Amino acid sequence: MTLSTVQPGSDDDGAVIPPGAGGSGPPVRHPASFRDPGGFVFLRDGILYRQVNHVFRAEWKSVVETGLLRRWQDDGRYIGHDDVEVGLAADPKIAYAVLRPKPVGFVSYPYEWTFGELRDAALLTLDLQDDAQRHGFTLRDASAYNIQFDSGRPVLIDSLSVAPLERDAPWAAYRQFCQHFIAPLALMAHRDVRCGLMLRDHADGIPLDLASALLPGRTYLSPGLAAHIHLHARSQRRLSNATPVPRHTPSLGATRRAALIDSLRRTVQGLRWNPDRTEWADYDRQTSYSDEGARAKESIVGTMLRDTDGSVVWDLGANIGRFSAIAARLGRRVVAWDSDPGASERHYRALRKAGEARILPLVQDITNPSPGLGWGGAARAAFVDRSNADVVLALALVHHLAIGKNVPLDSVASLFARLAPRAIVEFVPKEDPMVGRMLASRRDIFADYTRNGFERAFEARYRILERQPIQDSTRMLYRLERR
Amino acid sequence: MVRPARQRQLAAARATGGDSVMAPLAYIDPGAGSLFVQAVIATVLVVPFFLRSRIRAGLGKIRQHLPAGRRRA
Repeated sequence: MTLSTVQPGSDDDGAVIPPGAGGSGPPVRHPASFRDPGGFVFLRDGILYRQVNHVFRAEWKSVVETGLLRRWQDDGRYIGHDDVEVGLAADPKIAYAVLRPKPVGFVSYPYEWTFGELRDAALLTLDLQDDAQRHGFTLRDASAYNIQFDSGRPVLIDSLSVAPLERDAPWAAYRQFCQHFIAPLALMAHRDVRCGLMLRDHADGIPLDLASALLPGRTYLSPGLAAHIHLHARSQRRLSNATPVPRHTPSLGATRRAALIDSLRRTVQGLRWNPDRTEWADYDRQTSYSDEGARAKESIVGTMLRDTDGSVVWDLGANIGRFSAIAARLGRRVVAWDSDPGASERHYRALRKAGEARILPLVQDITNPSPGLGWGGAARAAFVDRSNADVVLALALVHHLAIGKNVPLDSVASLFARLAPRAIVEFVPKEDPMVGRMLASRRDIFADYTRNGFERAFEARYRILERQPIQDSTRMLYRLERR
Repeated sequence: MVRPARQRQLAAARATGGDSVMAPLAYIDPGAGSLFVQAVIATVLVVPFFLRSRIRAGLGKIRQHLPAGRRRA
């Protein structure tokens, strides 16, 4: 894998610098790293750096002197960085310092996180703000894009988020926190978990007036949601139209600031969602295999993974991660994608409980994957542009794409080949009861959906290294290498 | 909490039209309505928060004085 494509990127987020950019030659400033005058990120010789500008010198010195970031790094709440030569700056005229952030295994975005991941990222942000406040500092922003998942847990990636707290100043990032975390979590918990995808359309979080309008009336009875969403939205509406524009900043003492963070924490902790009711959340319990067939499949997948080089596996259609676990046991790092938020949430909860850090479950419909978003479509990289996979694992998936979504087999092969040089793919024929169920209510227009058709489509892009029938079923597993 | 140099910087920011004590640091718009409502919410919450904190601290002290065998894990 290439680390250059997977490191934290812009001034407030985990943007990805396109592969090849800044490989050699002059430094390349990330096109989305423009918001914060305090600094920006850039790529030089394939390595990601963060420049701290002179204008932020006093604040940065205070942060360094207090040792706050070092302590957060030691307890795993901050990704960490090395101080490097200021001569490496991309814009030396305004540079005060240059940092080299520790790379993140894989950059993911809030609209790809499960409910639990977004909730844990929110709680981390509040923990950091609480800790910062106690030491006379504050988070200047509270963007969900400042958080990434590294080794199974959320971490802060934006070194320049922390700054000294002005006496009695309110939290400037309060609105941003509510839009990035409280609003989507409340909608996911009280309306529909798929509302998390609204973060794709709203770059700076879900507008509070929209969240207030969409949330059911009973949320007015929740003190936290009534205050941080409904009252907040009303206050924004009133004061945005106020004339003259209010110039006075209300003051907030230490106890009131702590009370606000405590209330936000209680609100987030009070938001819960039961993942057992989505379409595929209990797929593992209604599998089409006999016990013997399931054991045989696990054994073949394990052997094929052992025979396949590469350290990063993308498990597409991972469900609750039965096969991701096999890859992780072999020492591979796994990004486990599934379109079902319930299955991914169950997977995430199981991993947290087990302390498994090598697998990152994420929600993604690969028939409509995350596009490039933000300014110039470059601030958040598209799903396909972020691939760091050495191996694609696509088990019991192709029939859902080919028959469930009418995607031609050669398009499926083309996407897999774009994502990784090697693949382990399961073909499920029409004789299988699962495919039979899928075709029961529709006309079979899939003449090419045969084993021969599958091999023809995949051989155009891959060499077939191995075929293994799964015992006690009509299914077949293929080990493939890109041509 | 705020160093003298910073105080001077803040005063300069105000003198040159900065409208808030956060202006030199903040690069996101906090929103007038959000600043107002957080002050209101925090004011309402501060009393129960303060009482809860005191009760929690008091219980902590009582637990410290209990014999080791009677303390809850």
